Amino acid sequence: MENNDVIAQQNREKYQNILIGLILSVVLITGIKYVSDYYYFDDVQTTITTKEGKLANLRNENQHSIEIKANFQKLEIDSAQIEEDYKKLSPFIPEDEEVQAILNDIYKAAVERNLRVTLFSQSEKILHQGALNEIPCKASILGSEDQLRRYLQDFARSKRILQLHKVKITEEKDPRYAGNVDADIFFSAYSSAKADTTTKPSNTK
Amino acid sequence: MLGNNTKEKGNITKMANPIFAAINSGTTINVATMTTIGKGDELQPAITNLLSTRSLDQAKSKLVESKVKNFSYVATQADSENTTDSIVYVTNKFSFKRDMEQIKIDLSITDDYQVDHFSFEDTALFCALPKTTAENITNTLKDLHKSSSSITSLEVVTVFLYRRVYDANNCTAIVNFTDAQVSVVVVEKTSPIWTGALSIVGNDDPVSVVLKLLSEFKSSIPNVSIERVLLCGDATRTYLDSLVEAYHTRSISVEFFYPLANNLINVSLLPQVQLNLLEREGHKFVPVIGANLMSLEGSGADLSSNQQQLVKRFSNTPELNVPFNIVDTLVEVSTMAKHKVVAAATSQNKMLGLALIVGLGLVGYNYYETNQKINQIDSSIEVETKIAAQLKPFEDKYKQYQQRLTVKNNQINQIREIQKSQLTIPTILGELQNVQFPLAQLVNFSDIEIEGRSLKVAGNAIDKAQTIELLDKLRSSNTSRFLDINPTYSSTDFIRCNFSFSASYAGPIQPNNTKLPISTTTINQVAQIAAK
Repeated sequence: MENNDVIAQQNREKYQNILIGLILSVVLITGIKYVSDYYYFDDVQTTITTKEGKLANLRNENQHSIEIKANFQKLEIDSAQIEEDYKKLSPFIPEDEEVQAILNDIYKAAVERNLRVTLFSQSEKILHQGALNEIPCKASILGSEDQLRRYLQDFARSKRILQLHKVKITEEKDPRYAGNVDADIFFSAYSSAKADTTTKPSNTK
Repeated sequence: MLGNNTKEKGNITKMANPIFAAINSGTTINVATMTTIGKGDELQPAITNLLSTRSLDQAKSKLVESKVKNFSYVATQADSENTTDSIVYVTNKFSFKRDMEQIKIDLSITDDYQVDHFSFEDTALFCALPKTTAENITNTLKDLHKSSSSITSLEVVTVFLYRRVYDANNCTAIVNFTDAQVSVVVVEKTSPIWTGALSIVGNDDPVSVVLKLLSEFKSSIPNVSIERVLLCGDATRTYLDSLVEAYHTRSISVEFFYPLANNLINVSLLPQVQLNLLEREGHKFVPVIGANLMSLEGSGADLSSNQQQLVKRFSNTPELNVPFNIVDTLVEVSTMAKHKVVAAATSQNKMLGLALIVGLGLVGYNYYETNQKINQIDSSIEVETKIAAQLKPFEDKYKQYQQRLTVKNNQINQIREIQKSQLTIPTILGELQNVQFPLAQLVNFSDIEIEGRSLKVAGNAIDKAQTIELLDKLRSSNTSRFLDINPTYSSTDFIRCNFSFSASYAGPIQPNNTKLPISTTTINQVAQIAAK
């Protein structure tokens, strides 16, 4: 009986040791994985995720470009249309270098209305208003009130885009010009905003 | 060392229970450690170790590793400064507390003594120890072991152990021998009734000292006859034989005090050598076993300088005090687990080696796999980058187209916004002239300022009435397009009137109807395809 008890006890201890050994093995394997992940593989995985993101972006961009390439003929047509539209708009909003000509037109219009232009000035400060450049100007006019009113309406009739902001009319005191008025006219002319958006000749085929 | 035996047994319950140790000094220094084993109703006091040494240093070296909760010192009357003065007295247990001061006066016990008591059924043992002695012993115990300590009386512990292991139905004299003195306590059935002690001077025969003490008892209490004499402490076989011979004619039984008499105390934790020692000379360990048993029950008379709160009354039923200490239990469990794990790891080293190889193999495979993946992604990125470079002109063309389209649409929208208000000033000026026209000869505008829809006008009229006429026209329902008119006059004589006013124009403004040659363009088919 005692021998049986001893054998049973030994078997129990044997199985207990195997069980503990198995648990330790699992802990060992898990520990090795955890340590290697912590000190190496987590960083590597972050690198992989970053690279995968970069690859996905590249693929999306390339797919986008491939679709553009497939429709490139249409794009060329549309681009040409845009250029045509710009040409049509150019009388309304000239380039900067044409502004002086506009101001000359305004001066001539005053003379044609028998108005005397005593001052014509252009601000050096150009205001950027979205897709337009605004050039503030001032004109001092001497003439009849009626001609002045017509002259002001000429601003709206101009092919160029002009905007009246303020008018200050004063009765002329000089007896030589009795019945006339002095008028200070504050207005703006507009030009196309300079942007590096002009379509350049393309060598794409 | 004291704790090793319990560890070898591998019983967590045993090990978690606190260990108590006791010491008494005689010819040799005897130390016993005890604990409790079992659970619930089967809880039993158990001796874990016995030790006899010649010096305190030896005892200390043996105790240094053990985790003893309380360390009891068994004081004999020889520990008092004057050994001829007995420090233990039997007294009436009733009203003991109330009469404590009176007892001290009666016994000439001053405040220089540490006092305590322990009650049995009908009487109590009053103990006293000089405070200086109590302080010295307490310090010695602290030096011996870091556990808490108490000093108990030899008479109290021997009577206590006697009550626990013997049937207390006769009159018994318990005789304790040390190298310096012999003490006797007589127990009549359940309670001590007399105690006495005598020093052994010169070549005195200890047996004759015993006979003298018992004779003294007989003369003190003549109506009580001793039926049994129990010897303990340093009692030898010679003393026993001499006393047996002395009392054989008087039907008085003489024997060694046997602490295992009724199997109350478990000795299964003791090594065989110590078990044999206990069987052979158990009477030598009576004081320390009794002291430990009292500690295990949380009872006793404490004469130490830091007295503990102990139960002062003998209980017929042993009530073992087993406080549970979670920290000790956790430490013991973790120690046990560590031993088991180390043993298992040693025996299963092949399995662990295999696990190590598997773990490292997995790491290696993971390393290979991740590097393969990185290389694959890098190759793909390289390919896609080349494709992107080839397609870049198309992408650039498309971006340019989008930008131009956006600018064009914005310009058209801005022009339309400007056209809405281009005629504001001419319209206001015309309206103002229309109002003035009927009064042109009577009213004159000298200053007109128009900004947006606000205007300021100054002028003069031939009289104030014409001025009022002008303002009425401005305000009239037909020309009520001017609002918020605030006039001022400078005329007081109704003949010439200067005036000024400000106003705002609320009438309609005709937009500039000049048609633009193009309209805004929505995003084209290419953009729609690309936006998918």
